[in-house]
Amino acid sequence: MRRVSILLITAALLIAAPALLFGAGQPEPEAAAVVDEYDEWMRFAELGPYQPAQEDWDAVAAAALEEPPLVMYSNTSRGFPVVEKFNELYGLNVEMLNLSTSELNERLRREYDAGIYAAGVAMTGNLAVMYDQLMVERNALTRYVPRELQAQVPERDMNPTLVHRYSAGTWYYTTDREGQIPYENIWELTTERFRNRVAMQSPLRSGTTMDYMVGIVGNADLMEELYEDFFGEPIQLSTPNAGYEWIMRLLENDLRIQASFRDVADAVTNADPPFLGFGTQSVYRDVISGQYDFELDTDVNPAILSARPISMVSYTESPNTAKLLIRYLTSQEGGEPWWGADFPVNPEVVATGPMADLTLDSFARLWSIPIDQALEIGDEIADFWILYE
Amino acid sequence: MQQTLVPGSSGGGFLGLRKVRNRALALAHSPQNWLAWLFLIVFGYLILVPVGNMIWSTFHVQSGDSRRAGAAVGEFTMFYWERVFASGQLSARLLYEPLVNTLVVSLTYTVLAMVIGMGLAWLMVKTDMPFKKFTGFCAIVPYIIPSWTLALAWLTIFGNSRVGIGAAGFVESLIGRPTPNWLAYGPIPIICVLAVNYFAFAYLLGSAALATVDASLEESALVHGASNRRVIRKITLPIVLPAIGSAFILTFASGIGTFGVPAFLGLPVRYNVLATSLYQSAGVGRYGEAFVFTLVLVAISGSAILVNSWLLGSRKQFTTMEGKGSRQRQIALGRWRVPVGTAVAVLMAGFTFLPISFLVLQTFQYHLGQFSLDNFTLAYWIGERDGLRGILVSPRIRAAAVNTVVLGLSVGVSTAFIGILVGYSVSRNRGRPLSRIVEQVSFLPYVIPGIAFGAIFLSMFAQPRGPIPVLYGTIWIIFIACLVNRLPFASRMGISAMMQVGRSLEESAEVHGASFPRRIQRIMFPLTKRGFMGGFILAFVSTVKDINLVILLVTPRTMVLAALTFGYIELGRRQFADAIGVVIIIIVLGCTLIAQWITRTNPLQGFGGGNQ
Repeated sequence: MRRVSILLITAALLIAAPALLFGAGQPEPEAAAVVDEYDEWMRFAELGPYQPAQEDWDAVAAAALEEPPLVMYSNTSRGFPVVEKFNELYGLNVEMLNLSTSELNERLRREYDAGIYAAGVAMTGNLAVMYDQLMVERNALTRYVPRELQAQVPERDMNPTLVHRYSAGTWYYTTDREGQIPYENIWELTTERFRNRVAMQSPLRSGTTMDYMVGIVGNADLMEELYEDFFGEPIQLSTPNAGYEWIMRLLENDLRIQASFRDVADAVTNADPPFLGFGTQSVYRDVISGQYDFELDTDVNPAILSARPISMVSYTESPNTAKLLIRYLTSQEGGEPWWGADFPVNPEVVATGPMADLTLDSFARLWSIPIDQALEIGDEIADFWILYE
Repeated sequence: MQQTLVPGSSGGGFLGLRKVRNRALALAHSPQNWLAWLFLIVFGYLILVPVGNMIWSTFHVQSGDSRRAGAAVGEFTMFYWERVFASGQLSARLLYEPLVNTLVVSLTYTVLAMVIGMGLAWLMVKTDMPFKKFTGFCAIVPYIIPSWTLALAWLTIFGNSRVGIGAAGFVESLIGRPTPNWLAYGPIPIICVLAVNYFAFAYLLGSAALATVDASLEESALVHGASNRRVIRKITLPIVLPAIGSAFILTFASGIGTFGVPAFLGLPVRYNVLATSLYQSAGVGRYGEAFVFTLVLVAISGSAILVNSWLLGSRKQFTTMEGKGSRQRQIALGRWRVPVGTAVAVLMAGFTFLPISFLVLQTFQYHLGQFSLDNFTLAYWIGERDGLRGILVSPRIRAAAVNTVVLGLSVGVSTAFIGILVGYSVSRNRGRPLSRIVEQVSFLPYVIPGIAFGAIFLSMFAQPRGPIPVLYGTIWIIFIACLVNRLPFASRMGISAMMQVGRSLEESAEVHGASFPRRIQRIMFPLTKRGFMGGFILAFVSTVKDINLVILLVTPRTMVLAALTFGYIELGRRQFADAIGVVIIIIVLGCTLIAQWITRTNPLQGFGGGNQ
């Protein structure tokens, strides 16, 4: 009996141990000390207020050779050949780790909290979450825009951090015999004609889809107008606003929820018209290559602008390599794998490949979601989706 | 018993001190005791600390949640528990409906997998069925194959044009009308695919246990006039019951946390299980909730373990390996021999070759899913697509393949060895609370989903802790994470193997002066070789193919094969990922065969099963 109690006490102590290790551990560092340390690093890395008015790239490249090898975190595997070329060009040893956006965010967050700065550059998605958790809650990421880009890129594209490129979320459709787009109003998707004939990813799995939903909810007035245009009568709400109403009716209309944009593309390709699917324009590359068969809606519905940011990882010991790499990735040569499908922010870059004709100007209307709106409505939409899914 | 080794009372004042000394001496002389304490301390640190951290996290506002929780990050909160358990309709959607689905799916597929696996094990070990080599080879493959491949293979056969991606499967094109939705997506496909995916557990554990059943027990019953059926019911079955219990729990618990298959086959018809809730939360960085779901899964599997030990506890454990000769007896199937052997071989071949040929075929398709000769390509193997080099010519893949093999082998061997030692200390301390605690703690990692485990290990080992340096960024953290995570396989194997080894052999060796390492080497290990191989194979396979556990821990230098597949799938080039899957299968089969050759367990009788 006594042995049992000793064991129980041991077990209890072992279970309580983490509270001692984690709970009471990690004392919050003094705020001022953090600021000083960060400021010191910015000075060392020549960033922010310490960024020289004119950057001497030869000197940066020479300094980079003296730095420890840099690791780039990237949510796209298209970076692999680019990193190889970059290393050849500058005689460096940059390595790349390819993980999903949420895994990258999680790692950057935990690494920063543990005082480990394993990466130097981070190319991710989901700007709002990244900004909130990695730039506001902590200084895990730092904005860096090469001087020559600063003069050319609009404010919007370099705040709170540099946007590497944009992509657009829009509707895929197959045409009927007359080659017509199969719908005129977004509310049509909630009617019997489109029952089980719309495919989409869950906004809980896709940042671009979430941005689109935020656009829908954030533009509830427009949704109300569109409703009246289509049904000829004012909307009767059973949800907070016309945006939510549309989401609910779409879900109730047997929406086909897919695991990826590729699956959305497959669903559209496999179906007879009318059929619609929501995804990013970049998948259209594989329509041209012959894998899928559909068209992109650039006229009827607003598309959603989705930013793909690139930042420096704070406290990296290789700031010069990082600068050189960010500059290279935004250049014509360094961004080659992306310029064929996505939209560069660097105005000097010329889009290449068979999709070059499609630019942001091709879209009649583009919604751009402000960060605070995305953060504020995003959580509500996620819960709403879970409820009605 | 050991107390006799300690000199008797020497008088003197401090009775307590002497008692302590006696205890210490007794401990030193009984490896099962100090092993148990050692395991308790090490597992306590590597398993209970992460679980404790998880519990702590669910009561404190996590990063990015201050808006939702209405409190600053790090403050105490009940937000996550309330949200999951007591938020009305939301809780129903997040927890209660998925919970019911999880139980329905898991229990059903477990029973199915047990029937397939145990039946197969019995046929392989206890009968003279033909084609054992081939059948045994096939039986392990469905477990090695990435589970999404099995799911895709299901859709290729039963998919219909009305749900999901709307691709008509073979059956639809054959009968000319869409297959019913319940056959294409939802619980039934999930159950079937998971049963095929996991019956290998039951098979491996079952055949290891059956092989240790001494024929003399069965024969004496036969001599006394019992029928074959009665022998199975009264002798064989009770002896292998602990293994059956273990297999049931392992199979049940592995599916409970599985995300891939339910995501593929459940998501399109909105059929959610707990793992879907968990991974969806973790996927959007909501770790507070993800940890609550994890704890719910831990509680479910924990109850399963309790029920199991309660059921087994009411029976006696049977020691079947004593210091006498032990033989195997095989039931002659007579005129059923060839038909049964053929049927089983064909079934296993189906489970194996269907998904594998599907996998291999895809690696040669330039455009996925287009079955024509002009779509044939070698680009994904030795060429290039989208600037990415083929699997066989990419230095990145080669480096990752080396890492994978080294990691898999070292984790496999270490876990299997530790498993035997755990089995030893647990079985020799049978009935004591210490034994029960070690057993249960060693099982805990099994039910903690990889992604949650990885996240916590990252935080734990990103700082030096006592004598342990910073392990994050090295291969060691991946090694330790895999070791701890695979421990349950091996310790289950070790426990059920050790339970059957009698004490007499070891005691006689001890009397003759054999040291503990020597006893392990010469007696325990040879007798439990099969358990060791089983533990090794399960740990090796899951280490080589797992993504979730390591994804937050790998670096470019410590990259492993499975973690590379993500990038290719994200690009829409599943062919690369399929090719990696093929490489993984080759690695696993190759290494397993080599390991069996080295340990001289007879590969002719299949993996882990059969006669010596």
